[in-house]
Amino acid sequence: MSSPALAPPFGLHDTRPNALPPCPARKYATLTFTRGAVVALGIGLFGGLLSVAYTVPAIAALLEPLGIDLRWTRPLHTIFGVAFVFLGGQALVHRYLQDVAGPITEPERWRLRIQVICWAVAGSGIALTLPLGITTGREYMSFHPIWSIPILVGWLCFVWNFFGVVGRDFWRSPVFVTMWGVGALFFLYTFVEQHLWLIPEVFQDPIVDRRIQWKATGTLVGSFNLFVYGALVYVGERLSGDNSYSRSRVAYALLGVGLLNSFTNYAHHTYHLPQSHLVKWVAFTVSMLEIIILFRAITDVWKLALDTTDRPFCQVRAFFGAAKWWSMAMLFTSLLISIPPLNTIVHGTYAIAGHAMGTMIGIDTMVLMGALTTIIAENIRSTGDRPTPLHTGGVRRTVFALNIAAFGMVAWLHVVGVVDGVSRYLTPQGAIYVRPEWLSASSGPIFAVTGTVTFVCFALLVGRWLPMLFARHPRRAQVGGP
Amino acid sequence: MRQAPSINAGMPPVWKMSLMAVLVLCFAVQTVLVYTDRPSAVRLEGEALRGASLYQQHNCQSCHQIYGFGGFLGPDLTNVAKMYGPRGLRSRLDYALGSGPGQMPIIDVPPEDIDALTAWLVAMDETGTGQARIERPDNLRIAQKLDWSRVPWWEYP
Repeated sequence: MSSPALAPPFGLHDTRPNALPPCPARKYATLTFTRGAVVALGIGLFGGLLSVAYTVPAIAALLEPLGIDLRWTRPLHTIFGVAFVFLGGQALVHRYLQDVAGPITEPERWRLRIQVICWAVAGSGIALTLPLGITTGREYMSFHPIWSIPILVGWLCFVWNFFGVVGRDFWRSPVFVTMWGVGALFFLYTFVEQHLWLIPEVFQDPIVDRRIQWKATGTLVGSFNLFVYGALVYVGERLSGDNSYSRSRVAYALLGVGLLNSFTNYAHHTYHLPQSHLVKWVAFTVSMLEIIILFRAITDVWKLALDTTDRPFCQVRAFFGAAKWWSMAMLFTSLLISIPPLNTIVHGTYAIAGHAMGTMIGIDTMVLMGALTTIIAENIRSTGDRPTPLHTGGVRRTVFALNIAAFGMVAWLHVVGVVDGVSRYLTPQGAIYVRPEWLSASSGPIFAVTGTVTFVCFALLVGRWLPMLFARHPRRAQVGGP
Repeated sequence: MRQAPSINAGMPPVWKMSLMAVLVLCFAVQTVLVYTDRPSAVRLEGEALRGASLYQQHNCQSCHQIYGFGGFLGPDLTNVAKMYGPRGLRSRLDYALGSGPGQMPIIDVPPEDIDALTAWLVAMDETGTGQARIERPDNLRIAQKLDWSRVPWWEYP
């Protein structure tokens, strides 16, 4: 009879065809990036909580004398939200490398050390300097450019290590490896592009600067989406025990449509910028291809709704199931806001913020929370604990409450955005737009309440993870370190 | 007889390479289109350029937008110069930065910085229209019915 400590994690089937013996340093890397992702999530949630509180005038009046305002809380929220997605993706990539790569080589170990140190320095530096008002004032990249150097160096080390392992078999690898590889390379491109404003010729032309900024931001979102979708396919296959999907033509067809969208449809955010109509038509046409992905999402949700199999609660499945519902809803809104007349009305309103938060919380975060749960479950298995704390009735209720609260917040943002958009459009050009009074009175409090409940649910879930991730285990010695 | 490959059959590497090549080509074409697009009618220089740097330095985009890019708490600033005129805009900036109306924090800036921000916002106004609005008050009746055929597709009124 096999020992419970060596059994596969709850709800997972090890489908590795020729599993290699685990490399302690690779396992340590997986855990380190998981811990980093959780820390980033904590900081991002803290920034988010302060930001939603700031939308209530009475609370803003209390926070402002303390030096707390949206100028640093919002960037703290967005930067560390993005960092959570990238670090969570890194954890899953390194978990995969545990499967396919042998023992770590000395140069690889050094690059891994440099990557971890560089990112730890950059993360700490950004978290400390933003509240001091040291900022570039750029969306998603508000930190001082000095921190871009360690981020880039760390990323180059990751790319080197990743392609060093999968490079030779890259074109024979499953779809999630293709996603991670393309995402890794496109991140390098988009990260450099995000800094083009430092060239005076770009900064001096405000429209060119904004065109490039939107383009770079669109590709940035596309590149982190590739890490998330890759993680979903990778963990989904291990859950189901069937690895045929990741090599199928359907998977690659969906990757093709998704990738085309990720890298070009950002331009539906730039319909209103003075620029060539050709760029706008390309964006509109590509955006409409999302109907294919929407159809797939609806099919998945339909299957999920019809599935009445009575199986014990599993946190991974719960998060993945929620992500499917969110995908369907967000794809639907994405298609709507890509239609030019609708875009004209709602762009620049809370509807766009609602859409961004819906995709970030509902899709990216749900998928990563589910995927990271598998790593934590494995970790506590390997240290002799039982993974049951991850799959209790309390967790089930918290996941449910989290999704309801997040949906309430996103739906409310859409309502505010549409009302704002229509009312604004009806205000003549040159006149000052004044938001309807009922909306002004209710917008902040509803946003703050739903945002706070979302924060509390996240805190409860992540709070359960912390002892499992950071506790000093008696068998820590077996885990080792790079 | 040769059997048709299953839809779930493994994707041959050459197909994967072709797919990636097509996608990279699409991305490259889009990139070329964006980078070779016509330059803006306005080039920031002198005070306006300093104003643009100040806008970033104080992270104003956390709450304000220019062409829909930025936060949602404060008003869009793309065309505020048209609404108030340069002199009116300067006095409003002076008031807003010095007293922090609503949730806006008080931002201590010298008068020359307010001049620079004004110059920059005047320059931004000249680049185009940031928000869709009805053109004239006599269009209000059409707009109130939200006649979609009158909503501009690409160019704002």
